[in-house]
Amino acid sequence: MKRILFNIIALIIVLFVVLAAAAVAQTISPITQEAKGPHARGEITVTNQGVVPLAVVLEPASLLSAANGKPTYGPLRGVALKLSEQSARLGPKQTRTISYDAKCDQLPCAFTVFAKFMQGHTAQGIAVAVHLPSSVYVCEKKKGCRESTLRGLGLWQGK
Amino acid sequence: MKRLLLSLFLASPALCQTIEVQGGASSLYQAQGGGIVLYEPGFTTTASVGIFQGRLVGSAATQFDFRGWTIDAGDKQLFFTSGAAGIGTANRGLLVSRKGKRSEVAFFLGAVGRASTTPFFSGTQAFSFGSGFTFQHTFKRGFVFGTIAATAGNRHTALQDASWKWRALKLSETAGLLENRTFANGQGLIQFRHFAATISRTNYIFQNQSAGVTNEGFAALLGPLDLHASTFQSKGAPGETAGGSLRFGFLSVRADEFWQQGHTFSGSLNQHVGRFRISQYINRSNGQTTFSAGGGFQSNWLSASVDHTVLYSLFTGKFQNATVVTLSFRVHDATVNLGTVNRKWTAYGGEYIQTGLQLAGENRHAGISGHIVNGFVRDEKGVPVEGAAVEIGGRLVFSDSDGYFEARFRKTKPVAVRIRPEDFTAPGTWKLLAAPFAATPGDSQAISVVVARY
Repeated sequence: MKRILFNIIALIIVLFVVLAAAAVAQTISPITQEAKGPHARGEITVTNQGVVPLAVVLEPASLLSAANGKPTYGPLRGVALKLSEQSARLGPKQTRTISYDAKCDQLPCAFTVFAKFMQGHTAQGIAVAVHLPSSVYVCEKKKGCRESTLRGLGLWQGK
Repeated sequence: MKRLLLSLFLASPALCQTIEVQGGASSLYQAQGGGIVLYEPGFTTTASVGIFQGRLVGSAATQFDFRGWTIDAGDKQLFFTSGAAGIGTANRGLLVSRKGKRSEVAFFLGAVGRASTTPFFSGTQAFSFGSGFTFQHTFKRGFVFGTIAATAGNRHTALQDASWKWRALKLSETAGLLENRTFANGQGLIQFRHFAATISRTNYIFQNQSAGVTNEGFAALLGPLDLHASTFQSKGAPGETAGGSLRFGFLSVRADEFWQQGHTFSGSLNQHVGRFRISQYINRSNGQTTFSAGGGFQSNWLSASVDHTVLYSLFTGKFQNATVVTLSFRVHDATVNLGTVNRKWTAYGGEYIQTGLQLAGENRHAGISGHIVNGFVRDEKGVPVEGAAVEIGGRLVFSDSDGYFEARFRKTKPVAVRIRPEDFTAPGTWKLLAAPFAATPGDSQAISVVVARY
């Protein structure tokens, strides 16, 4: 009886540890931003919720229209974008705020910054990366910028 | 299964970001002992052991969050409050708590007893079964409702409190059973920006004796001038107090009068100049006048003070002279504290040990520096290498899918460039074929780095 009780308690502890490890993830915020242009400044925050250090690389891309109504991304065009950091190493539970400074050639314009989280070095195998996007919409007026930009690209799915 | 459990507990220190170790001894507390705190991602685990007043005591606990709930497993000192009253006990078991925007709730279950606490370790002695909960909710229109229901050994508590706040007026009541005795408190408070008045009726319990006390008081805060006065009436000890304080630049003056079975006056004069403090006290009680003085110095790494003061002891009910000497200094992550009170001494120290993992925190880059060092990492065939680690001027950066990397600097002073194949996130074992040793921020020419897989 004592042994069974001990095994049940041990199982509960193991489950706690496994669940706690599985609950962690990486985050980016905000997911979308609206800004008044053509010169827009803002911040993107990336967080490593895990317990092992990660490398994060920020890759900007332009949002392109597509015939099938699904968004596609391509090389950054029509925007001069500066990031305070292009990449960083994030410690466990560490958060980093990265500033951006964007100048659009014409309005409205939109770009997306992908934060690519990559775990440490492995001698063999494949690299696993998590890509999290943060989109910025720049217009003459801040209000409703996202909607008007997506409508212009034929990507608006709302009512 | 035992081996699995053992390996999990042994893995705990390995996951730690920071380990805090403390130890000390005190003739004031009659204690010697020490403790350890393990700061892990999402977990904080403590363990301590020592001798307190001739008895071997110890405690161990871990705290973590699970789905919005804070869970304390192990030894924990509990303080549940409900309005004007509350209970405190040492619990060896489980405490589950949650704090929301409008509600707070906590449950505990375990063995309760007493805690032996010093600045450098704490121990718990659990004697009997205990369980209970507390809940508080803030409703709209200023209504707050709270309750405590708890059993700790043969002491039972069931208290309810309610309060209502409307503009400057606050009315509150607490009633029920407080550790097997009936308890009731009613209070009215009116508080403006510069003036407050309160009236209350409380049934106090202290050392198996109960006494009802009615208290009226007022306070005024007029810029640097703070005035306060109150009266209290009960069967055993009616009394009055009045006093005031004035702060003017580096100088603060405070004077208080007590009338309770005699007359006591106390006054103090404090001066803060930079990191130095000088204090003078005067106390006149039952025809006897005493003067005392002290001073201290405080900085980031050192604080020292000597105070000869008059303390009121709740246990003896008398004022007594005491000389308090404290010395505290910090070297890197280690602290040492030394103190004496009337020839009774306390000495303890602590050390933070940082492990390889980094501490949680926020690293903010508010500005975008103008001078850039950038480049490309490619293999010997000219194919871009993603995830290559390049250290530029002490900053570790990584290449993107085009092999591009950059770092920004405030100054154009040349910085060292070092390729770190051991930190590449790209799989494989890499060797460096070509790279510059240094780069100049603001230089328009991009760095070219060539690496190859073994």
